[in-house]
Amino acid sequence: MDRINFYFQFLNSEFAGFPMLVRITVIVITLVAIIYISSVIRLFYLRNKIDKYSRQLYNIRNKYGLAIKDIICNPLNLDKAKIGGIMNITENDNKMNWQKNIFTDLVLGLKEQLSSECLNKDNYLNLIEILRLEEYWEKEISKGSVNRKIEGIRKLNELTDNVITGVVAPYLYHRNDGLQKIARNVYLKFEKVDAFKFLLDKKSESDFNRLDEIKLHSSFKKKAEDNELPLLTEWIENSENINFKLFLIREIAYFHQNESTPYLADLLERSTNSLLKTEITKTLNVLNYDEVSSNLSSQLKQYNKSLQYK
Amino acid sequence: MDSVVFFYQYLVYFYAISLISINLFLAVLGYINIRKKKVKYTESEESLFTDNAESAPGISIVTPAFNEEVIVVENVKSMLNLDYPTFELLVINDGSKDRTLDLLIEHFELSEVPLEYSYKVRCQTVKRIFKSTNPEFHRLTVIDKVNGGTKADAMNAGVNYIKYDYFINTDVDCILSPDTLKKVILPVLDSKVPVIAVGATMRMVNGCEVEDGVITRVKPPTRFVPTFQETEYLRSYLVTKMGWSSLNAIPNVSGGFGLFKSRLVIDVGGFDPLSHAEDMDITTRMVAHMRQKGEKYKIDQIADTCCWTEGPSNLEVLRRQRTRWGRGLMQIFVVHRKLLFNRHYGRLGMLVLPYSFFFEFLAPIIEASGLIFLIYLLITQQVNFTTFWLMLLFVYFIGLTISMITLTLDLSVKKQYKNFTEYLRLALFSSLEAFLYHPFVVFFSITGYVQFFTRKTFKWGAMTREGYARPIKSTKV
Repeated sequence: MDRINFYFQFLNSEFAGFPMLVRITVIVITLVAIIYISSVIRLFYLRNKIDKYSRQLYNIRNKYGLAIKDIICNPLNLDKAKIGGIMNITENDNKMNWQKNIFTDLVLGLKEQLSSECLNKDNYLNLIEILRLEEYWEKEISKGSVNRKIEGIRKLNELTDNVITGVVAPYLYHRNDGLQKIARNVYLKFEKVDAFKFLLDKKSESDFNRLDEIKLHSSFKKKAEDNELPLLTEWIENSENINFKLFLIREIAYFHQNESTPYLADLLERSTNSLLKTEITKTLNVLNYDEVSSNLSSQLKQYNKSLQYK
Repeated sequence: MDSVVFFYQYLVYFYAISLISINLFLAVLGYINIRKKKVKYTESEESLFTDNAESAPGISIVTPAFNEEVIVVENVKSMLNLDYPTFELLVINDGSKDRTLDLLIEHFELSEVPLEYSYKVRCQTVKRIFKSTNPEFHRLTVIDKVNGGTKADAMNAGVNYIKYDYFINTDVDCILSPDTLKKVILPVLDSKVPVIAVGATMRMVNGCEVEDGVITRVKPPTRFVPTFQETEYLRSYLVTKMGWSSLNAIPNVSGGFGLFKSRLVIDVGGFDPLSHAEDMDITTRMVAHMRQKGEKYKIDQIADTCCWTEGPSNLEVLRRQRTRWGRGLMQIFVVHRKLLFNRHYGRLGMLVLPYSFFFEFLAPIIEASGLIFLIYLLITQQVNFTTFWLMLLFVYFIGLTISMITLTLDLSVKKQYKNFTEYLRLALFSSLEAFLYHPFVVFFSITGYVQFFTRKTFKWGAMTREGYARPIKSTKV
């Protein structure tokens, strides 16, 4: 100990004798050396992490890949017991978390691959129940970090057509914008009772961008498939965001909400915004609203080119 | 004389400290930015475009071709197979003297269509326009024009004909990743502030295995010069540009690959055919235009590798490339000198251009003068060798560390190379870069600066193409 102390004191006195710039340089080199060594360690750590995941995926794919494919593609509806038999697991099997991560990726990959060919939805849903994947991700959402929650909500959204909205409900007003947005999106898609309560939320409106449009459009499509898409006119009137209004008007055209035509015709009369008028005209045209052309011809000269030449 | 020596030494020392601090700061910002984007943009967001094709915004791809018979068919095939629902591909045949146009017509069953063309930005005369008679290639348009001498002129010919709000500017030797369009449009859509340009990471295709215009195996280059460039490019994209992107202060979106807002490019008069750094020039003009209009804007950068380009395979081709870049950089500061330190141009005038001036433009000059100064000190026996080796270690270690940080960032984005030894090879090359590669870059850059003032006429340097699969006879212009 004394010897170490001695050498420390010796180096310290040598160091103190150097000019200031040399001392600064030595300190900087030391710091940079630490960063360099940390980077090298991190490089190897990342390599190991990636290779470990690839190995695990390879092993699980080898062991269960064909079985999963058979189950998903089977034209016959298989019950959980049979699926468990094919996979050689029971519903009570508590697979380690890393396996559930891998199974999720494997199942989603195969689902995407086979969705256009032979996907048996009932078998698929029974399979993810046997593997307890939904349960796993619901736990990750409730306990994980913000990034893990976002990942969990994404995975649940991809895994199933029937997410329990109570899982995402706690995050509908979360201060993290990314988490809040994805939670609201999933809530809107799967909630049965009051799915659209966020459409007029001030924050949602002010943050609304083109990507949100596409996500919302995707959610509307799901709602329309389940015959749960209401008339969108309700939100046009109360919204203050012009881009949001324009989006809703385009959606009315896409979903052929013919019942909206009287409202849109009235809005066309009342509105002074040329962008809005342009979009309404296009939508009324798609909905084959005959009266629009007579209305327009009287107003055409007043408006700028974007309306005139559309 | 002593005071001059004293002053110069301290000046260089603090210059190095500043450069190091900025680079480390950018590395931290780059790391945070990469992590943020990895959480925000995943395959889930990308799949929105394929599942909701009716909502996916259209993107135009403009790619000039001059005497590119070696690779044009492969390249076009690769681009037509991009995984995105709504896009168009415009190939500009820039007066090729070889079989570029003939090969395109043959392979893609092209036939001439009526010449309905308007010159929104200036370019050489467009002679003919071709579209395919085969529905499989309905996205392809070939514009045949009189050669304008530069890539910028060819790009303008494409810009005049594009139909979508955003277009990609890329080179004909570039191979784009199949998911490129999905990745590069996400930051545009996910922003309330208008995004005027988006850049992405580019890598060397030189060592990769390519089949029918698709990369089947990513490998670092085998030859020395492109291997050094691989790390150099990655440093530029993953550290510098990802870092600057956090501050909305990207100096330029690469001419090899970049997404631009069509209307804005037209409003600023298109690409400058007289510029030797048309990428930095157009970025600067677009930002200046937005500042003059008093409108908010954003230039973003994604960390994903979207584009593989053929890099210079030997010193002669590297010399042509770097002297052109040197002329281009000098030209930027001459043409846009009124923007420098002009607070009316916000970040562009007070941060981006000053940084580019002091730490990119002046860097080769300071390094070269440092070498001359060192020789003088050696001759006059004024060198304290202990301090000399310490300072050399200092500068060398910084470069090495930034390169190592770059490789970890690259691996965290995606494992591109199959074998880990390929990453270690890049790490080894980065340790030799300061001695075997960087001196040439410094020399060629300074040559470019001198050429800007001394040469009357410049020709766009010819890129010697070798193709992807194996070296074949190069078509030298």
